[in-house]
Amino acid sequence: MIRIRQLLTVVLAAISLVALAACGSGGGGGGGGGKAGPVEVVTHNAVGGGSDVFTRQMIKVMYENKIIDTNWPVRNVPAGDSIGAMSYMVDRKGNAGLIAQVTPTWLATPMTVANAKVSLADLTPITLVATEPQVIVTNAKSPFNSFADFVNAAKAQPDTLVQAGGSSTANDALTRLVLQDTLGAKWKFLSFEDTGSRITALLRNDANIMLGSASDVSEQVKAGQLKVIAIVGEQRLDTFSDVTTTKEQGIDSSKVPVQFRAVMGAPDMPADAVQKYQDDLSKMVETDDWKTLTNDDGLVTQNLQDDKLTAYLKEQTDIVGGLLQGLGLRKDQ
Amino acid sequence: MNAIDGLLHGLQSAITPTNLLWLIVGCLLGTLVGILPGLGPPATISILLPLATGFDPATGLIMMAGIYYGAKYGGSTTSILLNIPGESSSVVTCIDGYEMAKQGRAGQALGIAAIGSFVAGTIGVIGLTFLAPVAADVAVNFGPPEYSALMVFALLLVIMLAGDSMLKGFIAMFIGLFLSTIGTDLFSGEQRFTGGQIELAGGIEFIALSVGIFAIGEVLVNIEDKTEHKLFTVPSKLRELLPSKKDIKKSTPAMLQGGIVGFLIGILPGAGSTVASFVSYIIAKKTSRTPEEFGKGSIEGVAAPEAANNSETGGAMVPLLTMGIPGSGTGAVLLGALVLYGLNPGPLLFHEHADVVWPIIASMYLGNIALLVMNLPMVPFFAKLLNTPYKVLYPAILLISVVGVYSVNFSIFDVGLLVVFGLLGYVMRKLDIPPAPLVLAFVLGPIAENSIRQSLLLSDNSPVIYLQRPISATLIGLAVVLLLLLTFGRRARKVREQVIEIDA
Repeated sequence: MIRIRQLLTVVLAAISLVALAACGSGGGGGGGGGKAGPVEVVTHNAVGGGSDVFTRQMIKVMYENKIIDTNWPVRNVPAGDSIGAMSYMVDRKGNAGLIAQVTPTWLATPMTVANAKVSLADLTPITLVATEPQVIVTNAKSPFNSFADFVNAAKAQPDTLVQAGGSSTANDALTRLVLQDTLGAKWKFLSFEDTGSRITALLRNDANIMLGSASDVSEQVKAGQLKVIAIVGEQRLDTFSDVTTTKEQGIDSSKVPVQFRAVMGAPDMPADAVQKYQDDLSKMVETDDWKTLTNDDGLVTQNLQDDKLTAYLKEQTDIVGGLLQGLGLRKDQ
Repeated sequence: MNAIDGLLHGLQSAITPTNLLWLIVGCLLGTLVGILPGLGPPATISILLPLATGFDPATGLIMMAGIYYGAKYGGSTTSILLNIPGESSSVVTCIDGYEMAKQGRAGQALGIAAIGSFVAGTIGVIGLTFLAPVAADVAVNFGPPEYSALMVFALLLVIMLAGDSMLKGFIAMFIGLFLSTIGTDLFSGEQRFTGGQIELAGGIEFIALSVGIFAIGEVLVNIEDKTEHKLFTVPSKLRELLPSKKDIKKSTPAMLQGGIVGFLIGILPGAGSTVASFVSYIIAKKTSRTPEEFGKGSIEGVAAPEAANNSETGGAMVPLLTMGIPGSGTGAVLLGALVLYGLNPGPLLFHEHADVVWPIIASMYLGNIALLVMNLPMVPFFAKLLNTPYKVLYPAILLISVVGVYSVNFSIFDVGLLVVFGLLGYVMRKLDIPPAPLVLAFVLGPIAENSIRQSLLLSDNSPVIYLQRPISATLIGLAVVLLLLLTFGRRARKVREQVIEIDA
């Protein structure tokens, strides 16, 4: 009997630990319409992923600047590359305490799945906090000193140069499609699952360029291993203020999909709750901590709300949708 | 700052009452989550992140590192006692560990796992302390062709785990490779074999697969046997529950070898600890004086993979701390934590934040000692759990399995997968097909596929790329030698006989 009891104790301990874990990661779920209820922030990344870290940094800035009075819990729903996270939101319609930090993946993934039951249009738009312009990097010893150099080399020898990147539907891959089309140049695309492998591919000279966010590469750039040869878009970045933009290099990148970071609420979120979040986020982007964060991570503050946000999302949906269509990956129509 | 100065300085700042307290809390929590399948270190660290980011960076990171290596110690417990591998690197431990438990030697197996972990964990940290810059170079130079070659070599070794029948090893491996292709293809974005199930878009959850095939399959077979007699005989004397001096002496070469192999392979981001665990198992088997005991409860067969699994912790820290590149799920969480503390992990971390990095490394030495002290006394207690009648034990295993699998993604779909793989595990046992090659091939499959496709893209589909690069050429050479041995060696004749039997 004693042994059974021992075993039961262990099993009970095990269960309570798991239960604790469940509460820990999902504790703020309830809420259900109440204004002052607890807030939970959903991300489609596992812990430690780019979106997860950014979400936590954003909450930290708001909490430390006393814009919010509790440290909002983050819920990681990595299943289905944003489909899982979106379904979690859709299942909790009208919940005033449920928001998500949304990236273009949330636009693209539902388009690539046949009969997806959810899409970004289901969620309540709140604020597009910032955009994250892509930077183009090469090995510090590479002969390319601007993206224009790379494009010229690619035109001279089509399909020999290599871009390291993510999956074929990721932003960097879609950007390559747009640029190849507009520039009439061709180069290879080497998919890797994680940013680390993309960087080592550059260091080994297996790949010639990589597109990513400034925060992905800023440490390697500081250490003199990589160099930035262009910022994609029209606006320079404070992080690498002496690097020219693709526009300055004479390359048209207006049709490139933009990496954005938006906050969206559960479907049918009450208007007063939306207003409250918009106010909080508007306060956040004015703080010094936020400015440090955007400078470190190479973000550009946007704070787009309401009509402007809707129009922006519409434009990006069309761009991404068209690109996926061209790839033959559009399955939602 | 050179390594010795750094380490001494690190020890000095790590040994404060606060840091030690949180180190022990971390090790304890890590051991607990390591014992449970499912809820792994990444989930635990993420739950504690809001608490830990309130600490001073060194303290918080020391605690999180404690969870990481605590989980490695704890991971062997369920593998040995209940045949539940909680992570891919514990799969090999199940082979001989569970056999030992069945023979009433669970205490020895758990004991040697703890001692081996300590010895090898220390080897790994020493490697990290003194070889980090060199090791980082190796990690950078390991590109797609090198990974492809390593995977070819590793998959050949996997078949050698099969035991008596290589043919059945092949069958298991191919099922594993097939299962690993399910999900979204990285290169084309297409869904493969998902049947339109969104839950399968990210691939099959490893925990559901391994726990189903190992633990549930085993329970089903035993229930069918309706064993009335006790499954396990556990000696009642305390002294008989711990490894004897003879056991330790016998396992020492395996522990040291595992420690070195684990560190070397652990440096490589991706499959480090899994590959390390079975490479060192095979080496131990080939160099052992009693290779016939392997697969039937060999204590060296537990010592080697457990050692390799633990020294991998030191190896995996190399790319994380020197380049800011995480080698595993836990590494990614630690990376996130570093960013939240405002320490940007990258090539300059050692220079710019030596005050944080060295205490973490120092805490790994202390953590290993703490874990040995914490784990050895628990061994008799855990070993005696097996005296539980199977009527209680089996429901408990099922409960732990279901809760564990559910807790990974909070997904009922995964629990359904657990049932499916439990049945597969049952059928495989009935047909005497070994489960380990299947599970390992499942882990290695995507790495092999991705790296082979990446290499061929680089070389415009010319396989010569594998021979142009020194590391991959060497590995391919080794694989060819191994293949020749497998084809013309003694065991190959056996396979041919089996094939003929089947034809007839």
